[in-house]
Amino acid sequence: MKTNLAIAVLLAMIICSCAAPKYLPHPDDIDINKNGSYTKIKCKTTDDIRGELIAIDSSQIVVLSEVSKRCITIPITEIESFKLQYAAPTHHGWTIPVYTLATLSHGIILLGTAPLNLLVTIIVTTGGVRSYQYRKKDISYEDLRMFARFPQGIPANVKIASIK
Amino acid sequence: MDKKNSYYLVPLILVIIGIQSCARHFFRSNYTETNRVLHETKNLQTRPYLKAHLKNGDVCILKDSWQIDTILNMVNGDGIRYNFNRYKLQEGSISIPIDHVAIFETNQKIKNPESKRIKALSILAGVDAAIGIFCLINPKACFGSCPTFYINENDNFHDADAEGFSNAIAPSMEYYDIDALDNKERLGETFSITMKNEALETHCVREVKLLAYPRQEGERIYQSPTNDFYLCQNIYPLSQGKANEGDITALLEKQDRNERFSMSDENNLISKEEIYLDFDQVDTEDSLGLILNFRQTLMTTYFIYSAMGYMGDEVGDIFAKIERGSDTKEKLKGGIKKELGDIDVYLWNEPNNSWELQNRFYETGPISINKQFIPLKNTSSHSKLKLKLVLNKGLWRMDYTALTSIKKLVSPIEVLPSSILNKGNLDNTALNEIIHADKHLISMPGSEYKFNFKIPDPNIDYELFLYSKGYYLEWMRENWIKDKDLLKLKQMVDHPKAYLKGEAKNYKRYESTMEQEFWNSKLDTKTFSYHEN
Repeated sequence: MKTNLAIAVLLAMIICSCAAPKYLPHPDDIDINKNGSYTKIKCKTTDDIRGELIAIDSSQIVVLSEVSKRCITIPITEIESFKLQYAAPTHHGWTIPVYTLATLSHGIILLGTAPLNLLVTIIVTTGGVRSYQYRKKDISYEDLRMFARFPQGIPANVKIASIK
Repeated sequence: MDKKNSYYLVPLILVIIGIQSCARHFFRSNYTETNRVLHETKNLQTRPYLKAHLKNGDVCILKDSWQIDTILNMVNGDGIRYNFNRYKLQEGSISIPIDHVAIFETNQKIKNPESKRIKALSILAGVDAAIGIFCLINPKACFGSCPTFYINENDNFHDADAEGFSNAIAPSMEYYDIDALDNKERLGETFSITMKNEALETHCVREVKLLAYPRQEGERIYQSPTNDFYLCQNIYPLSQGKANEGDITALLEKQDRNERFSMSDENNLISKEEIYLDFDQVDTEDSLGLILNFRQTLMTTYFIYSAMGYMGDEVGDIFAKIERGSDTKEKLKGGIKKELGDIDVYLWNEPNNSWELQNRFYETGPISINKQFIPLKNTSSHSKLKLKLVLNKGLWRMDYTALTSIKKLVSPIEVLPSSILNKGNLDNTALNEIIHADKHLISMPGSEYKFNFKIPDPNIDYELFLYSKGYYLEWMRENWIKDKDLLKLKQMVDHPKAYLKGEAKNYKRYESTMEQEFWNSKLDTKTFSYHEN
């Protein structure tokens, strides 16, 4: 039980402390962001792809991979799910250990307050990450194009290979 | 709404706020027609920044002062232009032909996106701080002490029916403790009592058993401080009780948990006070005994916690020294405890015109109310009795007193537990440890063990007492370590009189808030229990 709890806390902290890409704006600056949003695509048959959303049309998505630093084109039919991050999350991960440890001052009452603190801080922390995210169920591909670097599609004069 | 429901309300509100803070934001709009941009932004109080995605892949981000010139078909404004790889090309005044624009984009500002999360964390911090402060000024309420026993397992520590071996803070100080359970009539075939560890302590429990003696209607069995048991009948109520503050009859004439207590002397913690008890309706020739329901205030708890604080990071060494049989143990028993004293009971001897000492009450622990009794000497020729209690100020709480007739001295039978439930499941290991006196049942913070006893004859009404034996190890708290003061510890052990005088002002500061908190929190906790049946 205690081990499971420790693992849950650790996982929550690790998940929530993942650094966002530098091009993602602060939530207050979403209107002056020049890049596309950060996206994680789970493919049906190939490896998952992460990177900046470059463009999308009715049949495919172009992503500038954060691994290969090159654009990758993925057919929409190949996409199982995706997550789109349009602003840098606010990290409240520090509250999980700090608030939970603070309940040590509650004596025996910590049996109630520690789980409560853990629950609320995990919800708040994951909420801090997820509130600037869309998932496949939240948004259509048509609306998803607004979050691409080129919502109009890849310009005719731009070669995909030259996009950085 | 009752208090119990409010305990669930705060977490529920916090969780709801936390979950609401995950709500999705929808803030972005794209336009391919210039007129729509003009139309949909004209009534906005705060004009948004305009992002123009050009057909060649460049993007221009214009500040809120942008204008669309419908005559020249131009968009003008201050801003920045980036190329398709988002390198900055131009900054300042920008003019863009509209036919170069593929898509216009506007974004609504997300208003206070973190407000709900910050609200949830703020409320949580407030609740945590309030509980922390409450525990700081009322450590007993949070940190408890020694095993607590409950006939109704859902009761909290304010309604504990017994607390075991409060003085046994080290293995070598292990002892047994007997507490009257004041049980209701006719118990049925099984009687259960739940032992809880509600403290940051390790409880090592060697024995738990019941002592039972049959009683007829109108009879009660009372336990003396020397653990003798007396079969008694008839109650002679208190006629008048007087203390320094005035008439206290109303506080002592009923078992209503409405207690009489005093505050300590601010100049010296060793300071005695007297309570006078008059009994005017004693129409019997029987030998009489005095019933007193009492418990301690939080004063002794303060000394235990202070002593551990003075030990600081040497607490382990010092306890090891106590275990190795040094004279510290004897000094602990004879030091502060001796100076603070017992509740001394005196009977007025009219012919001699003097007060005669009868006996003394003493039991450590502020949680459960002790129900004890002492036989009085030379009372049979009086119809009116005057008693005097001499006790230390600020150390005792009293709920009830009365006189009763003694029928005889009796010996209760022992009843061992037939089964033990650990969180609802049968725990034969725990049963084995409790039944065999060479073993200890180890109970950690949060543990609850329900002891079941088979009543010898369900058709007989028994008076029950709880026998518990063991010791406990107080957990050191990080915030105590900074209080390390070995000189003060030495003074506490070797010169308790000087210590109690010097510590009076410090304790007074602690007492004024702590006792109030304890008293207030007590008033509205108990709802219904067997006490009111």
